[in-house]
Amino acid sequence: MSEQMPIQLSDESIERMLRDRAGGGAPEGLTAAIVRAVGDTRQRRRSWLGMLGLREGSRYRLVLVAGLLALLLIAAAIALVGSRLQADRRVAPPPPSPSNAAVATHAPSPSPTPASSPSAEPTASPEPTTSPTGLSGTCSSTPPADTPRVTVVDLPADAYQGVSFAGCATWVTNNANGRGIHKVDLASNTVVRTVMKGPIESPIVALRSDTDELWVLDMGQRVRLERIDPATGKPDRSVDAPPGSLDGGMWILGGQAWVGPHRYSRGRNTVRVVDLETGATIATIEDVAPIDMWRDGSTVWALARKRGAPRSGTGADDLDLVRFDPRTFAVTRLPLSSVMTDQRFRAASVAGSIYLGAPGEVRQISSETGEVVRRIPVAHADLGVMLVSTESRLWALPIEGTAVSHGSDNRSRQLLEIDPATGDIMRRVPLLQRSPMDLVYGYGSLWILAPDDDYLRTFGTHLIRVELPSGG
Amino acid sequence: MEPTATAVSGGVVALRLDLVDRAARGDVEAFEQLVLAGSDRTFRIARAILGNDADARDAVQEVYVSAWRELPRLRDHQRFDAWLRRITVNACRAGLRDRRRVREISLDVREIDRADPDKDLQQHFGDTEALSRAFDRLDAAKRTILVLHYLEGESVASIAASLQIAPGTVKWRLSEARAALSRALTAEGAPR
Repeated sequence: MSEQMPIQLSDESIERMLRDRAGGGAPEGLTAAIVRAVGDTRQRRRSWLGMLGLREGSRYRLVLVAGLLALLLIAAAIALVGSRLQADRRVAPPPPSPSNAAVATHAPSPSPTPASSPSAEPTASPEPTTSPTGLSGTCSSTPPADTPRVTVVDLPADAYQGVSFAGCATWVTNNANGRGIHKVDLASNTVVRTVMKGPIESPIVALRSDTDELWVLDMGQRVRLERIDPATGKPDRSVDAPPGSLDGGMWILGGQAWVGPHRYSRGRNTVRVVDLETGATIATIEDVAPIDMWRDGSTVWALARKRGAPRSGTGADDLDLVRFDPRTFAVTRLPLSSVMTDQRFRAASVAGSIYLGAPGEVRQISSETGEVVRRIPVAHADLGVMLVSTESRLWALPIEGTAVSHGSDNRSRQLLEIDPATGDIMRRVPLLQRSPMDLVYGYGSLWILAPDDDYLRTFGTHLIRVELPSGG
Repeated sequence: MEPTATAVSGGVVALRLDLVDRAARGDVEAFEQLVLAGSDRTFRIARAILGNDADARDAVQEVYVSAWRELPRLRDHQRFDAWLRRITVNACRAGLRDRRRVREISLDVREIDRADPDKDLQQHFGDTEALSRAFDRLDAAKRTILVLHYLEGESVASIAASLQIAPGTVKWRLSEARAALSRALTAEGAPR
């Protein structure tokens, strides 16, 4: 093992690279688009703090001072009550008994019960007291009786790349100022551990897997696919990642990794299928560039760019629905028209049908022809709909926005449960108005990654958990 | 000559300040002037940090929409430029965070050498390309400080004002970012 010495950089090379990246200036039409967007946006009024001549940041200082005063008052009240109780005890001591004596001896012991905290690295993390039953099962103790239960999980930083499930825990990749994968305990809805920590120069991505396994793509000097043991947080299996795994998209479907073409490659669009038991590439499928893949029974499906479509294209008619034969990997293309290509608006399969989110509606697509067989109108979805399927239901998150395509101006008001048989909206779960980055299903819950910021200040990212009633 | 130049410069500053004042009071046309004057620069910063046109375009739109919305709350209008740069940096940071692991990157359209495609590919993956890919491995904070210093040519004091951190911290972060870029480039060149 020989370590490489870092390459020496000159100021000129950095400047040249950045000039190359920066391009020549704003593209045509951008200024006009901004002006239109500004015309549609209402200005905020100056706050009462501003009117008083105080800075906006003073609000937080005022809250801090008020909080400290409140704490002081509470402490004073506790001290007062405590001193009265002490006085009472001195007046009337309890009769001695063996049990009281034991408590009295034990009470002053300076060994507190270990408590979990987000930054702690417990050797034995507080696991939920249930048994894992797979992704579609429930690991938490009791699902809600009839109404979905919404919980907001605080995450310790704000650069997240998706949610995975394994070992009765939810795992969230974080590549902010150093990499790591946070483990969210299902029982307490808190981050109890961070595994696979490392420098940001070697980022890591927890892959979405449809099995109860945590697979990560470790982009160190040698790019590897590693399976993480949820109990120890360490790799227990490792295979070389095939070319294209850096940015081409990777999906763990069954016991296989499906790897899309590398974004820089100018060669053919190639998907490689890797057997995760042996690390061997078992299929090389030419002329397919998927942007989303999923499995429905034994069939693997993809939303993929049409033949000849530019890899950078985001046009509405650039996608095909692609079906892979589970044995021969033969490809069947079904042309789609006018669907959103933003990857946050993924497809979903339920009860043998395929659904796609589009602005203002959910489209049911024939898995035989690719044609739209039903349109389900969805309000407040001018930017589209994020979709996810559970065992028997379709869940939709309408994205409402104004002039920009993502960010703080986008909000989602509610989560909708759709009956795939009728297309009826069966239930509406109100959510805090946040900008969702991801919607996934695992362990009987829907999980939504949502940052909370306004571009002037980032308050952090939250993971919203919606626990579904049994059969939801 | 110098007094004249100063007078002209002072006039431009006064005009700009007037535009900011008017925009803060809800004058859309004044804000349009600010957009026209600044969108190229804002786009270059966003494009350099984010690395592709589509994300940069979104980020710049968000910057100006946020700036318009929040402008009445800006107390010191002389600090508009630093404030706008801070919004730009935050929007780029959010843009990086919003990226999925499956990225859509708008590749520059370049003519391929038909006679020798390998040669063209080799050139495409040349030093600048490798350095750019290494840059993609850095987090938002490191990208930002390198862009402000090397692309925008901003002084340490100016960066400190934009990012609201101490000048000493800027120097330290700059050195860290450069070292990280060097390490990332080393990793980029490693055999896989």
